[in-house]
Amino acid sequence: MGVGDETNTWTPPLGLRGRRRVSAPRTHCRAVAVAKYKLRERGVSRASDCYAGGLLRWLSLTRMHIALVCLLAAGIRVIAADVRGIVVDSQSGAGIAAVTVRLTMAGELVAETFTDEDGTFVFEGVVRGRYRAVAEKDGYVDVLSPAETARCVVFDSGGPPIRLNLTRTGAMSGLVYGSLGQPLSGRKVIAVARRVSGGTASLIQQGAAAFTDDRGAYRLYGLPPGRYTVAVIPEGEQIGSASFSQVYYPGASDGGQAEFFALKPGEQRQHLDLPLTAPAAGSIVTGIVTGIPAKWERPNIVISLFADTGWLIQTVVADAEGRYSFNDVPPGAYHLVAWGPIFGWGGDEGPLASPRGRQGSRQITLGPSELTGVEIELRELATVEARVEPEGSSGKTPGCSAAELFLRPVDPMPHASALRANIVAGTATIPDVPAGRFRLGVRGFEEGCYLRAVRQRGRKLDDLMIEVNEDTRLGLILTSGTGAVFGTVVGAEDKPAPAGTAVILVAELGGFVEEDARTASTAADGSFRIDRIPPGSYRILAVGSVVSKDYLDPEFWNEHAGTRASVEQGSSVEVQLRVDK
Amino acid sequence: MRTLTKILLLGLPVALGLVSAGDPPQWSVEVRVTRDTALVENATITAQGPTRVGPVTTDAEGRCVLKGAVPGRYVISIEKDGLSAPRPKTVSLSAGAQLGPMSFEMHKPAVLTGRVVDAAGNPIGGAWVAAFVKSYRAGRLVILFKGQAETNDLGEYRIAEFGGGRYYLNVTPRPLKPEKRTLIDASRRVVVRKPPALLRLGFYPNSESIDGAAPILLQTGTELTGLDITVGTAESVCLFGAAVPPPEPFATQTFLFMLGHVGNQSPFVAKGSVPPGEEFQVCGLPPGQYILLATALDQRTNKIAGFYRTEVAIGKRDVDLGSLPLSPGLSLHGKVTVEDAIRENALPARLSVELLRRGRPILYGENLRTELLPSGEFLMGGVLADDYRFVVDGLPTGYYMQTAVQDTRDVKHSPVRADGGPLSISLRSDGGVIRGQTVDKTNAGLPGAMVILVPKAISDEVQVRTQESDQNGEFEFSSSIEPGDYRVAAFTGLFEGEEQDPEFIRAHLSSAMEVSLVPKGSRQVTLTVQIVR
Repeated sequence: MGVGDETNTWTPPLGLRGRRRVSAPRTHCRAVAVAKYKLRERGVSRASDCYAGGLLRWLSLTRMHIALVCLLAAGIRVIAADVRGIVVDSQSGAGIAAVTVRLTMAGELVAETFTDEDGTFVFEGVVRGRYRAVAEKDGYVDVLSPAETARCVVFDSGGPPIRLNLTRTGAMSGLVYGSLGQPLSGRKVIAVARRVSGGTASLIQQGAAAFTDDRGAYRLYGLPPGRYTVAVIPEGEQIGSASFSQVYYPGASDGGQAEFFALKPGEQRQHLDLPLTAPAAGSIVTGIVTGIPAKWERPNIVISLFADTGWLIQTVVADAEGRYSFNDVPPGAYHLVAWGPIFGWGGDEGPLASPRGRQGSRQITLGPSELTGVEIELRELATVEARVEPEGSSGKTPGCSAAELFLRPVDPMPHASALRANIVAGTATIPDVPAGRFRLGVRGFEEGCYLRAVRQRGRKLDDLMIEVNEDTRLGLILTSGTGAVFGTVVGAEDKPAPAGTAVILVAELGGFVEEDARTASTAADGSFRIDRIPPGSYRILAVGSVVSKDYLDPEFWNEHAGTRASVEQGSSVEVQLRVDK
Repeated sequence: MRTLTKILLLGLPVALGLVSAGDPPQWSVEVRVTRDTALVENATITAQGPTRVGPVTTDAEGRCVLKGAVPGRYVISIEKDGLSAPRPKTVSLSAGAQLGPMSFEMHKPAVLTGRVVDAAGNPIGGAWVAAFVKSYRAGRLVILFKGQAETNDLGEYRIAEFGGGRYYLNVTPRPLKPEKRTLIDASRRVVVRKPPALLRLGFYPNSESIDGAAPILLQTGTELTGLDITVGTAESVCLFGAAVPPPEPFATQTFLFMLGHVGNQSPFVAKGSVPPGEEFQVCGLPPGQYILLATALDQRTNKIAGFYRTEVAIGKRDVDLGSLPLSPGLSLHGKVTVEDAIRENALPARLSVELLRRGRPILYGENLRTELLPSGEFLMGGVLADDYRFVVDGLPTGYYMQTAVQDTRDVKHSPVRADGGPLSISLRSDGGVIRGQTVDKTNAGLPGAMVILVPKAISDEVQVRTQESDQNGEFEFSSSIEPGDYRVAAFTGLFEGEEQDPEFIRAHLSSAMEVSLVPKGSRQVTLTVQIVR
């Protein structure tokens, strides 16, 4: 006997009238099934019709008892416990009130609560298991997060209280003014950070953009502490809108000449003023979008102009024939992306695309003369289906679960953050993928797994770069056998560093992005360990405390040498670190 | 010989096609725009009337000229980024008329600033503060939003978009986002405990209802600071449901919107896409009355393929609405006839039927207007399964709507529905005209006065008609004026929308001049303008 709700087909033994299959839920004892069969044979369909009903009811009661015994016999132990914790300010150590704390298991929300005035929280009666806890509050950020969301802490329910750290965000403000000192309203200002992705250094926008008001004033807030500059970039949503050259603080036209500064936790940095000069000599770019399906009654095609840095400069709407134009575009290299149909405008999100739409792109280089006839062909969006493939001759798929597959586009494209899917039962499907090049990534493994390579059209791609032109099937070669880095950190007078000293690890190649950074805290004896590290070359640094995302800025690692370590598959590397000042 | 020469010279342009022998001469209006004493360059001028003329922009002298071929009454409006638009002016232009220069004075926009905080004084970031004026249509409150701004992390907002007037401020916290309902399985129920949620609607200075909103009197070019708005909090709950689009072979995308009750343009309390047919949840809802809308969009045609509307009362417990079956887009068909038509083809040309939505914004893919066929029939597709009012646009002089019936229901003053059967609209052409002049105390024509015409019997749902007197102080009500008894008066110094306020109407029109109109009648009146403020 067993517990469950599966249906079992059982053939009554010889001796009963006829040979008929009796379907009996596995929860029923066979005796019950036989009794029912015999009653039906005698024309008794309802237990209440016959004195045998009492027998059947007795048997049902017995069935329940038997089920309980089965449960106990199976040895299933269910223990519920409270999960307690505290969310603290990483600088002051004080508890933070009204922080939303979410408990998840295997990517699914289990419970959600918020902290009390002293920063404490409790989840009551949580079934034993391994969970992640995520803390969020406006005005705070987890600077040790591998992604934009707060860091997850894996723990067992019923264990010691968990401690989550959040750091106050900062803000930057200033004025944008014209050549005569007049305030300029409606100008788009962004915070810019340096990052390295795929071995290429780049400037990225951090946080939401701000627009200047009638005084020319802007304010960027909610920024994780770190190193930034600010820039005003031209933006328009109508054909024929004028554009100015991009300007980086304090007045450079090239991001390489911009002045970067460190934004501290909770800092309100002011007077970051940006002068907008007269428009640089610009040219016209005109063209046509082709491949618009005839059945689209309202084409609503938008064409976005992206700078080489990857951020959006202008968006225009094509006319009924698909023609578009950009005016006053300074010379340089750009990406044009046409997509649609759009069904509305989402404010800072820009145009909202209807799924199952189409997209096309072109790269252009604009000189002093106008560029005409730039054709952009719309292509259907593709579906990327990925399946975990066994590694080696064992034919066994590593027991990796609860991970998320994502595609990071190489070339600029809108709504790139939506290209991801959970890996469920070894497969993941990402719909509506535009044509282009992408770097594959997987995050969120709980076991010691990593994505070693990807297979596309029979080719094994170790650099995880794929090209999508049509519906694509990928093989995800996941491998267990991640490595570890462990060791000790010493501080002043060569004594063990205090408990809680932060250790930061980044990949040497293309690792200065959120997903590739790892952190740990030292124990009381100064020891630390970082597990589940994919093979590769890394740099490691120990700091007293981490209160900013400076460690994601490649310039930070030019100033702080750190220690290099090379991790082999399945191996551990020991290092000795000294607290960096 | 000289006569022949004259004939040739005068006829040559016609012969060359430069001038059509039958074309009426164009009218022209010269416009001059200033700010204080400075000339305003690059201001945009538009004239809207029988046709739309412009836009044209002013030159370095602050001047431009509008020209048009179709005579009639036009409203001239001015715009320029960074300056507050002056009140438009009405002009009557005959063929060949040359008017001007008309002067418009622009001003620095008025500014409203303040902070949005909770009851404990904590700043609320990411909230939308909107400035609006109250107006009315057939006695029903209509909100006209005039500007909005989002609060920053300090709770600060700054709205700098308008001229003087009487405004109200409304704040809406960041809209909640519907998400897929999270249930692991029946044995492990998801427990969501959220902190007290901000009330979804707040009005300056600290009211939950529009009735408690305090008006703000704003002068052109001034800046009012310290307009802090306090938003209360309450225990929040979750709302669950599943939006089920109509069964169709094509793919649809479903969206959910939740609105508070604020006139016809309620801000969104929650909005976002929801998985079709799957359970969604919206958590963080404080108690209150809400309107819930669900739509499905046909991804092939970008038209609405499904619609659902319901009122939701949120209390202290989670609410599970279950399945929300979306109704497919409907078609409204009907016919317009002229009851007193002498000939068969008496139906005026270029008539259209327009639907007016009730208490919600227009939804993407929704169709609200259609033109009549020559037979008077019309068919409007893409109409939602919702209540609407309707109007017949383009009625020429003397025509008015006498009756409107759907099935057997009188819908002249009641909502129509696309699934309520064919709509029969009956017009009559024996309407009258009321024209006249607004004058000051010296009996001189006074331009720019607001003339208000109402039925003699003033009810709560009074139909208010308004006209602005033109450059000579002249006005005319000629469309949709059915025979009957009316009251009429003229005012200056009104706040925007005040002319439609039932309280104002009762206070100022109850003893106004009476005008009786017989079928095909015409009345001429002279109104001495009353200065309200």
